[in-house]
Amino acid sequence: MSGPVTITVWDTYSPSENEAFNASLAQFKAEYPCINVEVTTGVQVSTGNFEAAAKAGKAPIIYRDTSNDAGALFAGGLLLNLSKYIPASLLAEYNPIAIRNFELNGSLYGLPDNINYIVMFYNKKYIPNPPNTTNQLIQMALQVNKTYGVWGIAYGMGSEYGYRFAAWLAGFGGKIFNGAGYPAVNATPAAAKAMEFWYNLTFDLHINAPDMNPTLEGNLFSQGKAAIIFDGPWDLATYVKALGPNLGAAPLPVVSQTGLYAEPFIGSTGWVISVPQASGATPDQIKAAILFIEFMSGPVQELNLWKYAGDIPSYLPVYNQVIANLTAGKLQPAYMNGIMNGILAQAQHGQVFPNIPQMNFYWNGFHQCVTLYTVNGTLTAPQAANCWEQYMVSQMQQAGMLG
Amino acid sequence: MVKRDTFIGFLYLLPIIAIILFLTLYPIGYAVYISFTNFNLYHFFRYELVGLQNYITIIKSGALGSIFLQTIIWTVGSLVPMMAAGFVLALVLNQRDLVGRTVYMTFMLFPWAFPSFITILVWSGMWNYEYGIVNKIMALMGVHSIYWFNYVSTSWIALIITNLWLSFPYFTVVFSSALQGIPRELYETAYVDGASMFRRFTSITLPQMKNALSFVGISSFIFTWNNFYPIYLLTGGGPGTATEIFVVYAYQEAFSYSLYNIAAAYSIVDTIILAAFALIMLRISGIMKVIA
Repeated sequence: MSGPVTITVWDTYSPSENEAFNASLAQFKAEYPCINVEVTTGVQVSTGNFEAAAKAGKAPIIYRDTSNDAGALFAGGLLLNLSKYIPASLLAEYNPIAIRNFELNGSLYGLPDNINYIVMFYNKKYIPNPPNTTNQLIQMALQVNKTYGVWGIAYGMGSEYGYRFAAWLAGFGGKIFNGAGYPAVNATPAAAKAMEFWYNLTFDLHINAPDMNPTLEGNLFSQGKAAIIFDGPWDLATYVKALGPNLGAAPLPVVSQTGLYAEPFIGSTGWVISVPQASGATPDQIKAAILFIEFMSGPVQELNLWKYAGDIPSYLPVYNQVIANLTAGKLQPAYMNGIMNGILAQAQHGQVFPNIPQMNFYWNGFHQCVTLYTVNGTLTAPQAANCWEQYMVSQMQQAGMLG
Repeated sequence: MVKRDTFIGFLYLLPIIAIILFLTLYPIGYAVYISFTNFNLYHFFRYELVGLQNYITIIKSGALGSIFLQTIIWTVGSLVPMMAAGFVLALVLNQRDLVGRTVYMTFMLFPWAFPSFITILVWSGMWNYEYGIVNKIMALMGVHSIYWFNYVSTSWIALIITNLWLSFPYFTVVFSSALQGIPRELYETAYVDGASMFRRFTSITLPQMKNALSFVGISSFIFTWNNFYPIYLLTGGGPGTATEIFVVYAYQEAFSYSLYNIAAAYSIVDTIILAAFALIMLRISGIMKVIA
């Protein structure tokens, strides 16, 4: 760099993550005094504003986004291909799944700063040991319902957009896309069977609370009115505060009908860099941006994110350090060691978050079609699965992805 | 001299004409242009003209017919009760001997004065199956709770009632002022001639209100047709796509999928259909002659 440079950053961290970011930013500024960092806080991930700004050539040089949304931006040519900037030796320091999340057609478009997924949180007051299979899940939920008069589970399949359902789709043996990137949710009966499974638990066995949405689910679980919930570590603080030592965390169970784990998406958020056409960045600013994202996905920030916000590190040396601390039972209060062990154990049973552009069409397709089955009753489960796949196909056609 | 004055007059108007052109014609023109290109996230910096391809795509997609029908249901379904409620309330509030008329009128303006975005969120909670007050009141009357947004018919009912709440004050105020513009002498003469209340209503009130009813009806039709927030915030177009209307669908195409070209094409189709309806209604009602 020939002199001082200024880089612009859109910060999408939550309040607790921002504490970590601010601490790391101070350290970055001390280490690189010639780089002036202009941070815009309170920006959302996956924001449409990024595209609007990019069209005007005013996008931030650096943006923190989810791996799948950034994948669509990269496919659209809005993000820089980082493959030639980031050495392979550095990539080897990250969790391979997190790096795969930020690769499209062999090109790297971001550096991860965490990995994220859902786990099964349970209330030990009702369920001392977590279920390992869906048969156990049903038995325990029935028992809880009968003994304590609370819901066994709080999961609103009908209100969601398929982020959590993807785990059950995998558990029943299904896939979202085939090898060619064509929608395959209806290629096997898995989607229909997974939908029927949750329908039965809700409306036949009455062990899953009906008409749920994530807020209501969280409220029921925090108030001790539901024994099990499927949620991510981002809500951990709320549940710890509500349940304290009664809180447990474990991987999602094995689906008894298939013997496969319900595998949630292992997603990542991370740092990406806009192409100069979108941000107007100079070569010096790009160099500074590379230094910034390496720092903000490196050991300092990863450790801060873990300390301040409980984010699961994607940087392996920090991840290993966290595991070592947990193994030694160093977390305080002591019951947090068990909870975090349960959360980290889920990472062994996850699926890569598809970051191909057509993944954009997965969400609304699921939501619209599954509600026609679960709540409206106008479709059967197989018809809903077909509706879902057809929706994705028609949107891909509209986007010109199918020729 | 006259020509020079006219020219100077136009010069004074130029800034406002420029602003109007920029704020209205430019976005519309740009949307029309985009609808003939392949501009979307995957053709972001380099896009090209594709002729009628986007229009062919949306016609082939099969969604157009159902979205059109749903937009009609939304617009007519909202407009009829809104106008009826507004008219009836205006008639009630227009009674000379009504005590506390100003107080009623003030209270009635509350739903209108309150930010509609917040009101819709409050209604969203009120329709909730487990915690909503609507189901709680129904339970007191011995009626089973309903998953309001899970069924097509109840979704429409909830949407239309919410929209009715948001809109009836406007109709009441407009109709009230129109009613007050009817000369009292007409009623007094009819009364002396022995006309019944019903006859006075059909022979004086309705004909005198015709222009107000037509104008409010047509303008509200246009507004409701493109009223985005109630549907977007309450049902998001669901269950399934059963309550999608043009404007919500176009929004999702643009901001969920970044298919700006398709969204623009839907917007243009939406505008053409609405303009056609508006022209027909203006012609039938003869309101343009009145305005002219």
